[in-house]
Amino acid sequence: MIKFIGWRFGRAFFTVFAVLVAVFLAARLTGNPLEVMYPEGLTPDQEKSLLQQYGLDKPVYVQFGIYVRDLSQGNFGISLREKRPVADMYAEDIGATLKLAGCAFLVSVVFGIPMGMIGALKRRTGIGRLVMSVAFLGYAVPHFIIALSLILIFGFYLHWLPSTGNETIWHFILPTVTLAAHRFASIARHTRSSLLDVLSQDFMRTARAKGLEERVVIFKHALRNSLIPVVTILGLQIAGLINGSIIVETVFAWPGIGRLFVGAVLKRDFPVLQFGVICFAAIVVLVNFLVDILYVIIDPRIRTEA
Amino acid sequence: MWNKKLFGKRTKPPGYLLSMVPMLVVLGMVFALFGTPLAQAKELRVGLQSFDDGDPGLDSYHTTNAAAQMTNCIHETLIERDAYSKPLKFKPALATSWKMIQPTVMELKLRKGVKFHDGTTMNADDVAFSLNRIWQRTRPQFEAVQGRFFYNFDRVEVVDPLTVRIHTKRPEPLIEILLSDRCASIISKEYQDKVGFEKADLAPVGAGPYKVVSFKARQQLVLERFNDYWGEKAPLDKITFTHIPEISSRITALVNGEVDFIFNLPPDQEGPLHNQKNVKLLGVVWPMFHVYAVNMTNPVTGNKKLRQAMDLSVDRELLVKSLWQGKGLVPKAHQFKEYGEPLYMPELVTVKYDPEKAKRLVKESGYNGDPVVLTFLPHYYTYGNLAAQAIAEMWQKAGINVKLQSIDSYPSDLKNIMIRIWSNPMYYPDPMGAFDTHWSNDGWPYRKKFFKPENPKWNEFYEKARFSTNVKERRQAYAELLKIGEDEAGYILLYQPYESFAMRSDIEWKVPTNMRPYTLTFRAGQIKVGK
Repeated sequence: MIKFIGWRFGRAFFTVFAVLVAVFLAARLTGNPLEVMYPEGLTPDQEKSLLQQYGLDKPVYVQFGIYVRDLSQGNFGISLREKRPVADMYAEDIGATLKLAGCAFLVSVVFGIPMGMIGALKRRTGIGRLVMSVAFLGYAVPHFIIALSLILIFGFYLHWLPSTGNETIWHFILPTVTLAAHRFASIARHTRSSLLDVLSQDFMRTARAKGLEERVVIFKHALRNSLIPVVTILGLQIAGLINGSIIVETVFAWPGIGRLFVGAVLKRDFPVLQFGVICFAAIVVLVNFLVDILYVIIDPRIRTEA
Repeated sequence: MWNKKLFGKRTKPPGYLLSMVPMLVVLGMVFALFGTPLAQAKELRVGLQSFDDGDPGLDSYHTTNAAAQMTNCIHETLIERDAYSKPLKFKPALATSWKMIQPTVMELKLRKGVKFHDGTTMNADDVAFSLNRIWQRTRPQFEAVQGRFFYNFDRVEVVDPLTVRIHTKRPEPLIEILLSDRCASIISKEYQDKVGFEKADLAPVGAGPYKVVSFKARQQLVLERFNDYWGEKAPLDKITFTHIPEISSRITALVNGEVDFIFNLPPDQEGPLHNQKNVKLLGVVWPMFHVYAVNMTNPVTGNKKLRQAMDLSVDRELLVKSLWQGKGLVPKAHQFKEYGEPLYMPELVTVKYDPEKAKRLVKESGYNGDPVVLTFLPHYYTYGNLAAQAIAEMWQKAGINVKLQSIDSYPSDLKNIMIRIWSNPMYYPDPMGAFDTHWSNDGWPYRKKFFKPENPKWNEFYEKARFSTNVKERRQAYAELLKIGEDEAGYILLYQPYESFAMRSDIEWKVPTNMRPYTLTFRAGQIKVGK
């Protein structure tokens, strides 16, 4: 087991390091950040002095070495634009993003699993088809279309819900629904297909033959077994939540890291961009790492295969 | 207890109904927590499209459109410019009086007892610190403001704690206009010394009618009335500027009562607000041109006849009609009516449309069909991408082989850029407020050899238009300068854009015609909210 965990940890570490290299190089391929910071130009002396100040005058491999050294010392860099530690900037904004992502995750699970069940158990009825049609829409329609449609209907025409900010519980509804739509749809579809698969298994016939009530058959035998693959995809949803928050936060003026991240890309704020990408990659890798370990605990055969 | 006789055999609910229980619980929790706060009567909530233009501070030196929206409330100048008067009037502000004691020296008496937002008292050292740091270009950040406004200013001399002398390099006919620009505001030296330049930029301390309560870059600025303000107290208790980049969200926020004041609405977004109760629209044609700057030293666009052909083949009437729904304005020359008499010359026409002459000029130019690349920023200027496509078609018809290139920002080295989109706003109500701020020898087009007039008379007329102390001479020289500019065709004016402000119907506010575009004036006498 320790060998397995060690192997997976090493792989996770390598993945994050590969992302670090990729984002470091990709950021520098976008061009000189001073062009965006000083659109009206600088004198050659000023440009040279600023490049020196930001350490951008050195060869890329030297810059990378310095960055890795600083990272290992817990120094994540200073924003070129705001001249503040990037860790502080993310720390200020991460709370709002986590609240939104948490709500979206909760809603997608709470609604997605029951909807998937309805889709499976009532698959030949109107309600079953309706539920899966809604799930299909949630899956197919892009975030920004959902966001703008919700703003138009519930904000502009009905005046029921606010369209910007995060002050009250009401402010959470539209962005949460927008962000949850894809996740909810994905969970509902996976739950449905998994449940249908389980329902056709021999042990279900056995359970019914034992004289168990249908409720017990569904919840205790079918649902439990069908949720194993669903639990697996829940981990992957976290990546989607952070991705989705970038657009959702912009449309709903939500004060989270999504906007910080977009701003860093547009304004070539390398330290902010690098830190965001690395954190994001680390979260995804960590979740996958935990899921891998969870697998081993659930199914020892995987350990053997590894 | 379940009564079998009465209700029959108890049946269990189907599984899918049970599964909906958690959904109902979540919905119940959400609706149980109902409650939306309402704005206070004297609070103004402003939804901004652009919050920092990539330059997040609020120190007075910032020249961006985004900063102009907010810094007008925070900072105070020595001389105050009336925001609306024609002819232009100046009022005492942090200086109570001023006079020229030599052609290049102005002496100003400072107001006694003026408090900064941190409670410190202003004196001559603060004035010298605030202005000298810019005029002596002590940081690269000051390059833009110095090049645009203050390149003729030399230094501030402290005479005594309440007297300063401002030295210019040569006689400055625009000295009052320039000193009344918000970029010439006075900040607290003590505060800057204490917290440092970067921190002070994000939490500025000025002497204006509102003080900063909180500022979160990219997100929100909260201001409160400054009760120790030296002049008439601010009419609002609180102003909240919130960044709402998405236009649909901004419009909905206004209609929903989440904000009270929004702007940057192009004509095609006005429709949804026309029939809204409690909302009124205020349209404005900005004193600003969308411009194509043409590289005069590039091997292709260095050809003057080709540049003239490009200028003559742009059908601006069509652009204004089709893109701006007829609400923008076709320029006649590089000037705005906001200059007022006598500097505005309505009879002067240097912008013309003559597609036939354009075709002739292309032939005469010896143009060999090399691609002319029009490089544009697709989302920076309203309708900028559509205009680029339309203009490319117009140039094609004139016989020019045009290629469009979309980029996210312009490189430092512009030698390979042939044509770039730009804007020329009127920074102050004078011909130089839109011309000198963009086309002077200290501006980037000249420094980067993008703009290089060949006509030997250019410098002579520029000199008079900029520095003559005789208004008639300045007017005449400026007219001559614009005629040369037409011949040089180093810039192609497109149109004056139109935008709308939208606000709660009980707000009384008007666009300040003596200030640069996007300045939000919320001082005493400039806004009324509620009854």
